[in-house]
Amino acid sequence: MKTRTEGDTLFITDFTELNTTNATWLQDLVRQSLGRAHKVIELDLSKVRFLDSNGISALISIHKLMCKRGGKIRLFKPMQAVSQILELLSLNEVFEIINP
Amino acid sequence: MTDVVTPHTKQIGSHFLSVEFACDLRESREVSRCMRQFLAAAALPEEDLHGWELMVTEAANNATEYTTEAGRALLNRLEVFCRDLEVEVRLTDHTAGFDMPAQAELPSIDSEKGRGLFLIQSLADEVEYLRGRGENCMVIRKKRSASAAGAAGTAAAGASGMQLESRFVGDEQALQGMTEELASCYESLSAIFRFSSALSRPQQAEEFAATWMRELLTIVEADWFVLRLADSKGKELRLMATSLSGNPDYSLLLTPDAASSGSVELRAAQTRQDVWFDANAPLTLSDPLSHLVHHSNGLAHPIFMEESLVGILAVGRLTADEPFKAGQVNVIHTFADFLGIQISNARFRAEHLQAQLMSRELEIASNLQRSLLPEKLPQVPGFAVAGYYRSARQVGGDFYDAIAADGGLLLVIADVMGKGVPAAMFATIFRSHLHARLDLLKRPGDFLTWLNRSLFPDLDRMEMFITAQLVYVDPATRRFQVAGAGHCPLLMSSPGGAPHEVGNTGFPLGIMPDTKYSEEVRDMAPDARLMLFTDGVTDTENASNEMLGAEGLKQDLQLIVNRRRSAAQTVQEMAAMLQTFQGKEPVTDDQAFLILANE
Repeated sequence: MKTRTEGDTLFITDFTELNTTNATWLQDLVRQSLGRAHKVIELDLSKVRFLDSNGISALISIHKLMCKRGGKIRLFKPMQAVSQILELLSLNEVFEIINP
Repeated sequence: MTDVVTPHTKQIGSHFLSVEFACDLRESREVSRCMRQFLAAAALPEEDLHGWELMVTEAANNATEYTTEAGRALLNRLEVFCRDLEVEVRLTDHTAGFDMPAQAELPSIDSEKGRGLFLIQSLADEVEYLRGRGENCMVIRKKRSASAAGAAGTAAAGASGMQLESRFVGDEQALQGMTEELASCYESLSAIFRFSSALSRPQQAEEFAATWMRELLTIVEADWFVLRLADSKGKELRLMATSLSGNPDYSLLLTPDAASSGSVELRAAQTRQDVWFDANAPLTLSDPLSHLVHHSNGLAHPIFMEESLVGILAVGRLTADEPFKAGQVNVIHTFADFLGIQISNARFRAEHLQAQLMSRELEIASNLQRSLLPEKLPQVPGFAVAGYYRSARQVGGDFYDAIAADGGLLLVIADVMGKGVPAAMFATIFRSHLHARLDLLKRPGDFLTWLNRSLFPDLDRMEMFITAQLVYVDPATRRFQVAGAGHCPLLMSSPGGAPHEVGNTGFPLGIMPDTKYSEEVRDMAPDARLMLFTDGVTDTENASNEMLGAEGLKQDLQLIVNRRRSAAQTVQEMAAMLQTFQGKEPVTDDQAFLILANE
């Protein structure tokens, strides 16, 4: 996973799965990287082919963290299989999803 | 074709894969990847592969996260059966197990947990969770997508990239396991099919239960069983069938504090859950079961039909270890549930039969009742008699008669306490006694004294009694003599005057063995009417639950008598008045009355 900041957005990129083994890691990474100026966290899901319930728990945890700060998270270009899981769990209405 | 893919997995062709894995979240993930490769080689489309990968990940994560302290040292097991039309996955865990809901609810948006089971149930066609002692098994089934179905077996056996530590499952061991599994499935299935077909045949429930419980012992490799049924009131558990010798025929009381007793059977009934016993949780000495089986392990399973307890099935092995496996526990549950249906059906049939018998009994009683009433009432010069009888749904013992002899007329009305055949039988006996002593016709008091003495032993034994009123009318003198045994007084009514009650009364017949009944003698005015009746007439209720009562009856009678009707017309008009008063309310007691008129 890599992070970069552009304006008020923290971008998290370069990962192919979000599951039990790296969900906690992602949460730690966000806590370490998040600065006061960050209003948005954008996760690049364009290469993520597998998302399990622990990965989803991490996304919700980050979403709640950002809400408290008056910010939000965005999911960038999730793959079809991942999109379907988000829809199944009605999370497509919670997260902002970008499909350019 | 048999080929070992890696040291820690077992794969047979493209049809079967078995992997054992430790309680470690990374291994859980590896296992689902391994399964994905196996299914990809069997030509499942990407959509199916992703679904299975997610379901198995979730199931394996749960197996790992919730494992018990003892289970942590044990390996979880994943078995994948790839069939032409369907894929089935079995994941055996060592958690404490859970009650799987029919459909897990989607947690609230804020909740960070609890989506795993929802995902599995949403993506699968069928999910079962079989609970055993120390291990449980989640069975997930999903049909293959149409495009891929039938392609199984055409793809080469896949290679696994698993990087787990070496836990070799040898060829023979795996094959033997599979054979046992299949044999066990087949045995269970065929037994259950035979069981089902036997259900449709009428059979004694005890015989049926004993036969099938013995089959069950063979299938699940158990040594003994005890089946107890709850009685119809749910107050106690009584032995129905058992394989044990000794003295298993004790009954267990289902008291509110039964759960705290030592009996595993009572605890299972009270908690509505399986209660297990083994070396760690042995049967206590206060449990009667412990005196029949020592060093045993097994379970007591409550059998419910809808909400009511049908019984308790205790099954065990005569060893303290070697607990039943999850699949075997499932077979025990299935058998017990089938048995519950059979027993409930048998009970339903018995109740239905009882209802039929009751209905038949009422029909007999009703016929008996009707046959007692005189077809035609005798007439004596200058007098006319008419009678009315209406029976309640549950036949009672009301009875009337009129006997002419020696120029006189005896009017009789009686009410046997009770309903059904016994009441009708006593009415019959009463009638035959009446006709046996016509020499007493002119002395109704003595007649009642004799009737009481003759009928007392039988009535007393049956704890029944009869109220009766006898009226002897002498047409020559226009006098009548009345004697009563606990019966309501008759009404005498003339046009323009209020009806008044006549007739003192003693004990009903069958209460005191040596009662002497007295008589009252009255003159009857030329235009007077006498009405003898049973309490069913005054007890008639209207829609507002108000009783007609003696006063209401007197008013009705007065209205009719004022019109100077004949005996037959008086009966018709009185019957019409009663029915009008009653409206659509059902008759709760027999109604009978006699009218005597000067004509």
